[in-house]
Amino acid sequence: MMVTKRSPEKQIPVTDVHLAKKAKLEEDESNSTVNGDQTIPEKIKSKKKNESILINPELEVRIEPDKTRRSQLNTTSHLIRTFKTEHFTLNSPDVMSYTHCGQVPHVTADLCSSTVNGDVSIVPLHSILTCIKVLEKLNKSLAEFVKTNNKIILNPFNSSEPCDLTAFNDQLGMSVWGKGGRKKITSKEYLDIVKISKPELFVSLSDVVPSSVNKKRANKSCYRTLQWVTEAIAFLEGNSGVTSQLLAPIPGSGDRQLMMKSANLLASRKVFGYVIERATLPTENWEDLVRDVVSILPDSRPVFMLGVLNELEIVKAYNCGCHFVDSSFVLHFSNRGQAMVLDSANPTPLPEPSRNPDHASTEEANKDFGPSLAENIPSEISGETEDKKKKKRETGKVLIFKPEHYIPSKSLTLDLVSAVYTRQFLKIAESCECFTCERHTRGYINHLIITRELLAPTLLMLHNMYHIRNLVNTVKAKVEGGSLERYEATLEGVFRIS
Amino acid sequence: MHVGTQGTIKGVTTKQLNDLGVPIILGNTYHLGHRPGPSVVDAAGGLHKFMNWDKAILTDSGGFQMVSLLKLANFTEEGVKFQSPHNGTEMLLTPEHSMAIQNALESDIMMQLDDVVSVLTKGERMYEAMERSVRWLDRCQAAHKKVSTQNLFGIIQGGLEPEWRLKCLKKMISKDCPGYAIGGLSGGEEKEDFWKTVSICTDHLPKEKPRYLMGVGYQVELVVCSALGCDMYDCVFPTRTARFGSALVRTGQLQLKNKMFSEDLSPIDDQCSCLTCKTYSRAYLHFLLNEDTTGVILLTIHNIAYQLRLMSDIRKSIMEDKFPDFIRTFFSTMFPDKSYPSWVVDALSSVGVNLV
Ligand SMILES: [Zn+2]
Ligand SMILES: [Zn+2]
Repeated sequence: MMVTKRSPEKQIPVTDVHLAKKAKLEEDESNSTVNGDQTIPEKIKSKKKNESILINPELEVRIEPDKTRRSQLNTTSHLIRTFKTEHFTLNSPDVMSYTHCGQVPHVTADLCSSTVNGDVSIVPLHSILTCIKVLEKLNKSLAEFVKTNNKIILNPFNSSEPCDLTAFNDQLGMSVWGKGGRKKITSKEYLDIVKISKPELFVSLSDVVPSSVNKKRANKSCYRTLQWVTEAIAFLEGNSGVTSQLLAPIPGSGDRQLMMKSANLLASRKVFGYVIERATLPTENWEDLVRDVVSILPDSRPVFMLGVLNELEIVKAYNCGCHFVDSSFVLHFSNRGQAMVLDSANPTPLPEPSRNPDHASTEEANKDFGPSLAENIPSEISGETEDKKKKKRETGKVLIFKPEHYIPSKSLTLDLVSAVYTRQFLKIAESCECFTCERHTRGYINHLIITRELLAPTLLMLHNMYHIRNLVNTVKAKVEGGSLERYEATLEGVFRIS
Repeated sequence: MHVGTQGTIKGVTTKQLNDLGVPIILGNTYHLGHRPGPSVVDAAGGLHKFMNWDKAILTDSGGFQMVSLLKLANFTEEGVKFQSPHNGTEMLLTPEHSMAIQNALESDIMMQLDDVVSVLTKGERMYEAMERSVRWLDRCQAAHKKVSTQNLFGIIQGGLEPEWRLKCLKKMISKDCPGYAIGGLSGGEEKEDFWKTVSICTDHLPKEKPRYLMGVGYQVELVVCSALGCDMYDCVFPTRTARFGSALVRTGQLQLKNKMFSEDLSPIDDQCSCLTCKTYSRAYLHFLLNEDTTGVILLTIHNIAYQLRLMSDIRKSIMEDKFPDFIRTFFSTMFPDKSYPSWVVDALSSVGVNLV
């Protein structure tokens, strides 16, 4: 369906003098420090004031969820959809492949069948910063440069690793952690990057902060994020040649009032769709809030939840009316040597493999030639060392998620790093038909993990991505059968038991 | 042969290796003997099944890895004594032990345990190493339990001393191995000594049996030593060099991490049909190598494809009786200014191919 005609921007009276003053102050700062020549057009300035009022915590604007829509969010008519523009089509529900530089991490293109890769890639901004100048010079779009046929969603926030990275954001822009450390990206710089890289969709800059921050900080994040949305809209209006579609992040760091207000404001803005960053939501019990938020967004626009933490959260996100999720958590599982084995069609907890007396103990597995391997088992197979990461972040103040948040309930994944699997020459999952399961065994992957071979995360990515696509197919069937809610409850039970 | 140290070649799946046309890979006995250990590989039904590879596998004896990885390795008549790098306990690798591990791995070609000393070692110790390697070949042959399915190669030692090489050749050839390796080279010796030693060995090794030159894999060496009569090589070179961002091409190597490639939209080699060259530009690889491990995997795939093509071109030109032409074309592409290393010129002229 085509994007509906926009309703006129809502006019909100200026009532809060303090915030308006503060906005003015920050504005001056922005003009004097970085881009002296970059003056904000009058029109934007006035909008900015409006927004700062909207999110004023003292202003009691209660926004009620749309109860009728809320009850229909997990139905076929809401979830199973086609979102079309002149340039691309998105089919929901779907999982967007999380990539680095447009490549599914660890997996070369020849192994990326559609069952692994899908047809939409999330590209985190940090992974392409070093090629923007080249793209500009060669006049190539990002898709042409990285040779992908997938539609690209450029996301300035890295949903895969949202650890305290946002502590450095400020009024001028967002901090992005790429090769060589932190880089501040201003709104103007980011929009230039969009113009050069020509993604099908882009998320505007967002000041992502966790739900644990105080109201003042949360308020500030709303102000900045909405400001950046406004600038992105102005940019698209002023650059008719740019066909990239805008996804607006919904700020509010899990605070109901702030998120509802932000959503209410954004509902009337000229955007293609919306993004809820999982990192801004509370650890648990966010479903009601998300459902309320989605219920007041226009029905014609897709909602993305980026940064979900496991399979259950994927199902929850769909059940709350989100059309798309991403696969960033799969990378963490794969890097840690974990294979997903939840049977999505028939979710039951797996028997705990370590209780099986048939399997060799650690000592026995390693008695052959060398001493115990326990000391050599990597905490993470690839990527940076913990030390490096620590160093990178030690100056950060706000901590959102630690990697351990990505550990799911034990019995729904095989921890293939464990010596229990050393002598198991079976598929990861009996019924799985992925590249890995058709060729390799648990024992071989266990060996690759212990010897820190690059192939370990490759094989695990292939299995885990396939697994996630299966889950989405199950979800589709459940939506069509009207039983998504029941399915979520079953799955929740399985996760709780295990 | 491509080196799969731990039962894998850096990030490349066995399906991809098969698609590339890799006929044989090398597994390191020391590494595989340590992790996962021979009993695990045996339980899996051998290394082929363990890693899902149905083409050939060659395993080394484990001795060389110890010398290169462990400073404390000590050779005695019984075997190689070494200190475990993990818990410091003293361990011993005997010819019998090496055979037991390689039998468990079920490789197609196994290597005898040999007494490895630096090629630059002079005098008594080098002679002793040669003699001991001959004795250890006896012990290996006696301990080898799967003669009908696994081929045990002897390794010719004797350093740079022609007399000792000849003595070793004579003794080992009499033991009728299914194939022989030329060992102890590529360890920092003068190129002049290197090719002359190779030449002595190939002159005397039986023509109908494969000759495997250990530790050699640079493009130039492959061409010269094939001309001298070697059949097989191993080297970490194509995979190791990929790890450092280096692509093998007919003119030598491209250091893709170099800034000069950041805007180069051509493939690594426009005549190469590997996945990497068919899909990606140098500029993209330059960028990706600095960002993600996938860049290394893509480069490894190209480098393996390059080396396979080089070897199959050599083979084809020999069959068509055009090998000398091939050699001349190869060197004039590699050294457009004709600044051929003198050892190359000498080695080739010894077999009747004149470069200049
Ligand atoms: Zn699988
Ligand atoms: Zn190639």
